[in-house]
Amino acid sequence: MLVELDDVSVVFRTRTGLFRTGEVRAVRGVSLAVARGETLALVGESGSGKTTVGRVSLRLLEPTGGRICFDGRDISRTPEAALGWLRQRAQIVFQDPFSSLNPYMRVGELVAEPLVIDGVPKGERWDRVARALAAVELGPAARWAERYPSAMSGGQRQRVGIARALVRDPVYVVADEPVSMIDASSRIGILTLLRRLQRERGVAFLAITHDIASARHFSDRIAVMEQGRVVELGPSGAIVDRPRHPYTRALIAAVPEPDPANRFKRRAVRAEAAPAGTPVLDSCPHGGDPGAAPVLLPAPGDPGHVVACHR
Amino acid sequence: MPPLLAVTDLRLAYRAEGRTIPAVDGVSFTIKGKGEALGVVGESGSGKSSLANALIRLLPKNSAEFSGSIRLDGQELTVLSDEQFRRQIRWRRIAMVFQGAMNVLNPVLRIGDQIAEPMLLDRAISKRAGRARAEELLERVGLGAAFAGRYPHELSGGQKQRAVIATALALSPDLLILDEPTSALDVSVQAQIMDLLKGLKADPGISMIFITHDIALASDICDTIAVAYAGEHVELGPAERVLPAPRHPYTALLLESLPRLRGETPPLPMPGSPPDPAALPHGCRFHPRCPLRFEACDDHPPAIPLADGGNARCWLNDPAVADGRQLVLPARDTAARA
Repeated sequence: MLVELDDVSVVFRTRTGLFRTGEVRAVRGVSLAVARGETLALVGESGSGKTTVGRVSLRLLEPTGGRICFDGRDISRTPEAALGWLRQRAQIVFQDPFSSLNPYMRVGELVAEPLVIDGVPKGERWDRVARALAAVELGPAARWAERYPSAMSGGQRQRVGIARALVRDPVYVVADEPVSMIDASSRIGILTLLRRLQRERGVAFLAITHDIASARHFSDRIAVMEQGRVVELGPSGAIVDRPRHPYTRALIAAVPEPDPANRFKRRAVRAEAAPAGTPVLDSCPHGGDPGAAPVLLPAPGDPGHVVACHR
Repeated sequence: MPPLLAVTDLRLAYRAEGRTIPAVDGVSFTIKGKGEALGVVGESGSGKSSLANALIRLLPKNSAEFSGSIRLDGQELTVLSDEQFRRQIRWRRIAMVFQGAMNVLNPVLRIGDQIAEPMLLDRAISKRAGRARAEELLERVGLGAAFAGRYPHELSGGQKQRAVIATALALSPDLLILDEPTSALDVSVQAQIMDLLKGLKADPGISMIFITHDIALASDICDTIAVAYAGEHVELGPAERVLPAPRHPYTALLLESLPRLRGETPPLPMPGSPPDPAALPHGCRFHPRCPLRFEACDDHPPAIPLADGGNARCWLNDPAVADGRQLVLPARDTAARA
């Protein structure tokens, strides 16, 4: 496995008053692994902890508990100064291509910036920038390099964001909602591009998304997160076609399909429909006890598919 | 009886850098009566928000051309002065939920006061009555009267959007324009807001223009679907026909690009990119991206009427021009992608 998270938790301290502090347990005992050349989709809603998992997997955050390994090396507590090698090999694509690109820099400068930071000699830079732009289908590179982000569509800007991540030839990329700010008609182009990069270059992706329908088509496996925990994990088709957890079912039920009969139906299913303490598996070792932390157990008859034993 | 809303050949252009840029270019549609929803689906820059601004007459200062007819219950609105429109139409007959409106709630004003504000402005009702009405509206949008005393920061995204919808309902409009009302919300919250809108559509029978870039979401509430492209409506028709059997290649490609929950058929990317509104292609505006283009596409197609009462701006719908050609998208290589 390329990236391994073992029982990782992240607790944020918040100020709730002048002298009082509170705790937000953003990630609670998450164990996940991303294989080389695999796309794992992390699906969940705002506040489910999916972005925090992405950031902690890159060690942009230090975990409060648990262990993170990258390519077999434990990076859980490694100081930033000793993480230079990881910064070369692991990258992130941000959600918002409108605010994550400096409007005063040309595309060529934006994509070259990581190389400048790495001290790559000037003569070598352009070649790598041109290759990165070609990889994200912004060609001819010479013409695109001269443009400013303000004159580009959301989809084109996000391609620049991806080129910035690719220019270091990473083996692992966290894509944090890469298409949620982009027009529906450009989304599939970007997701298809990421899939192609994964296939052709063997890049492993952690794709953070709230769109389980896209995850079904553009990832190998799906992990569903709710309130800081992974509640279901398995092959993409199995998760969408045979969801076991009530939260996964609710997420799927909320997706609108282009069917004219929709408007005569109510779609909203509240996740609370299954209250805490509901066993999901007959084999739940806690008997559905809401006080006990749920564990992921195999879904009977579905290889590779695991689900939280209770809610 | 005249229809609730009849829009004919509506045009709105902006002036920018010495050029005239058409944003709404000859758009026509009808909303027959109570509780009918029209979906306007299109990419950024297709003119769908400009259409909304034109209908509620909140036009930017650089508007150059504004023409055509907008009839509400038979009354021509384009002849009204701005003052008459403000007093008689805006918020009273036609209300709007703006894109991102939930982020512009006044942070220092209680929700109840924000909802009552439009009612109190014309001093039509007392403060007490305004408050009572605000509480009633908050109940109606599923928040409960207690929310009247809360501030925006105490509300979640979905709750804020409900409050914004309550504000739009304050003066009991007949027509509600919704511009991407769920775009910043989680899928489950989106489904809840859509259920609320479906409820308002059924009772008290509010008619809606639902603007979105997501044709699947439009299908969730809309009886009729209009597909906007480069300022025009390239296809218009009942949802029952447009979704299963689109009559414009752009609509067909939009539907092909949707990730379906069921089945293994992967979504396919939309070819090309939207045209520069200041330099639109000659002839059919979609033809540079269209896999089905043929010689006739050099001529700008009119809105060709269809049997279901809708229309489509594609020559393939004119048998004399199509000459046996069918609207069938070519198979694309699926192995290269997903």
